[in-house]
Amino acid sequence: MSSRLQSDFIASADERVTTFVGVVSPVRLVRVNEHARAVSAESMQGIIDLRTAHTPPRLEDVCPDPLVFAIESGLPRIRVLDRQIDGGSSWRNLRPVPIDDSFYAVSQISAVDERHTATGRLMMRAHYETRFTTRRGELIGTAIGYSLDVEVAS
Amino acid sequence: MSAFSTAVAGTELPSAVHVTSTAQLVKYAGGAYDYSGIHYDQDYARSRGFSGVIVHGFLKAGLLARLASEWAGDDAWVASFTARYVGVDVVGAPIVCRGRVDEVSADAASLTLELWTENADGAVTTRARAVLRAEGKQN
Amino acid sequence: MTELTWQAGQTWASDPFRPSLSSVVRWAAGSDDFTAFHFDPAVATELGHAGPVVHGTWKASVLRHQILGWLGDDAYLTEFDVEYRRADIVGEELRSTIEISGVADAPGLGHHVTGSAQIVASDDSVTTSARFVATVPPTRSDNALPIDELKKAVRLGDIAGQVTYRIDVSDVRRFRESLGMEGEVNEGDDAPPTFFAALDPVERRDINLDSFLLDLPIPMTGGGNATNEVEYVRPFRVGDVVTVTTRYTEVYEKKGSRGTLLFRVRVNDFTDAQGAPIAQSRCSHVLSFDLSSSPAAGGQQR
Repeated sequence: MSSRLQSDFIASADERVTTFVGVVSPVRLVRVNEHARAVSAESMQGIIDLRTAHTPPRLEDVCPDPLVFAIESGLPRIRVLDRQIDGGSSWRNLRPVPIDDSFYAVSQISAVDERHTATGRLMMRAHYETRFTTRRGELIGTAIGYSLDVEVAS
Repeated sequence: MSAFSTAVAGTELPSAVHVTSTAQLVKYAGGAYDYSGIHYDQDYARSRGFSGVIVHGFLKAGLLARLASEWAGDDAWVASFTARYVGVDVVGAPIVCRGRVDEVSADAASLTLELWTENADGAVTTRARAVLRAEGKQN
Repeated sequence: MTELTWQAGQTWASDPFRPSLSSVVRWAAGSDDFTAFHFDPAVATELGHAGPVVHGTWKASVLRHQILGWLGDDAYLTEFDVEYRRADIVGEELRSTIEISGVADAPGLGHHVTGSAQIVASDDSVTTSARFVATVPPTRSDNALPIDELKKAVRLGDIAGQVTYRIDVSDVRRFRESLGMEGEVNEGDDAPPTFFAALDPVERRDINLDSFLLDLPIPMTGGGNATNEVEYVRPFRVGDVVTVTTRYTEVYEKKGSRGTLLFRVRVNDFTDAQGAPIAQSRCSHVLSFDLSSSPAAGGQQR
């Protein structure tokens, strides 16, 4: 899955980064934290209809920052060019997130692609992808955090 | 003289007893590409409202069809088969397969079998009918 | 089934809102992100910002909840992509806009609504940009089965699907073994009489149009195949390349002793590689529901 917001990236062949593709984190058992959800909902009081914060949790609630989530699991942050920026996130939900049970999360650097900016600077994007599965082996969904590594104009 | 050629209405087929196991249900699931969890996953079967893992209806039909075709041997083939599942069979319990000749065609070239399975409580769980034909198997 | 009210081109705009320090502190606690520049002015200034910077993830969360608030209580996001274009400072005025770009039918699930959303600063620059696919479930009665929706989902009366299978020696051997039948199997041998079960695209889930019935918030009390019938022109044989055309012919409900029974009847036509008929089967599958109890709170979403 790729972010539809930037579709002009092409797969990178740069050995400095392709060596990271496929690196897998240790498996983690995670659980919905209802207290954290409630506090997060309070942070949006007066701005959103709070009823929407009481719908069944999605992976966006479990993992609001997929890049940090994946790096906390032990995956390396790729730093090859000058500056690293958050490149955004993507979530895909296939099944309800278990509420009364824990579930598995496995993170991986699933791809690295690149493009050149309008001013000709190189931008590499690493996909930090976490797959969430139930204790019965069913796929709940995936969350990707994109880490951008960019050349700074000289 | 074969069983098929000497059969008359009311002729009983020899019975067969099958004891199913989870392993067999898994084999059948693989053989028939039916991977529904109600046939091997206890938790899932219960969530669907069953008391536990149940035997595929089609598996019972297969056992009854086997009874019919083994009785007929090379003398006839099963030209049509109908099964109606009226009760559930739980894995592990013996299933008794029985059959009897219902009617024989005037030219004795075909006959209809009534077939059924009985569960461990003696209740009929499947009712089936098979039409056996001596010839007409087009190539 | 209610008429869907969403269409491509529809837009929504929020009232202006300001993320406060109070919001940021709560979001930091809820998301476990205590990076100082989100709430410490000195650290933020040192990094070149005009003040504490609102978490990008908070902005993404606001957009998500605004999308769901607009689309309705039962809607849920299946896909969500977000990009953080520019930092926003705590206390600054922001506003959101949402636009629907497309609506597609999703039989059994409702509708998929695709669109984009963004957070815009007071200088009209887009600071956060998102794309989403939301599923809006159909309005269903809590104590009735969705018969009309089911008839549409299985394309009642039309061809539901067509699949081709090749019968190999190993297929027949495995099938025979699972029924306890011994003996060798060779090319050209007849397959057992119930082998049509192994060539049924619905049994094999190659055609799977009514699985949403298993996710309804109504307790289930069993079910399974009700009847299986086949009529042969000739037996299936090892080596056959069989094309199966499936049509659902009946969908109906009936009150039973253990609940409400929902029957779906399908007919399969089996033809060989030359298009000549081999067999026709008719199968009735039943699912049993308990409509007497109240549905689980919140329903069941996918």
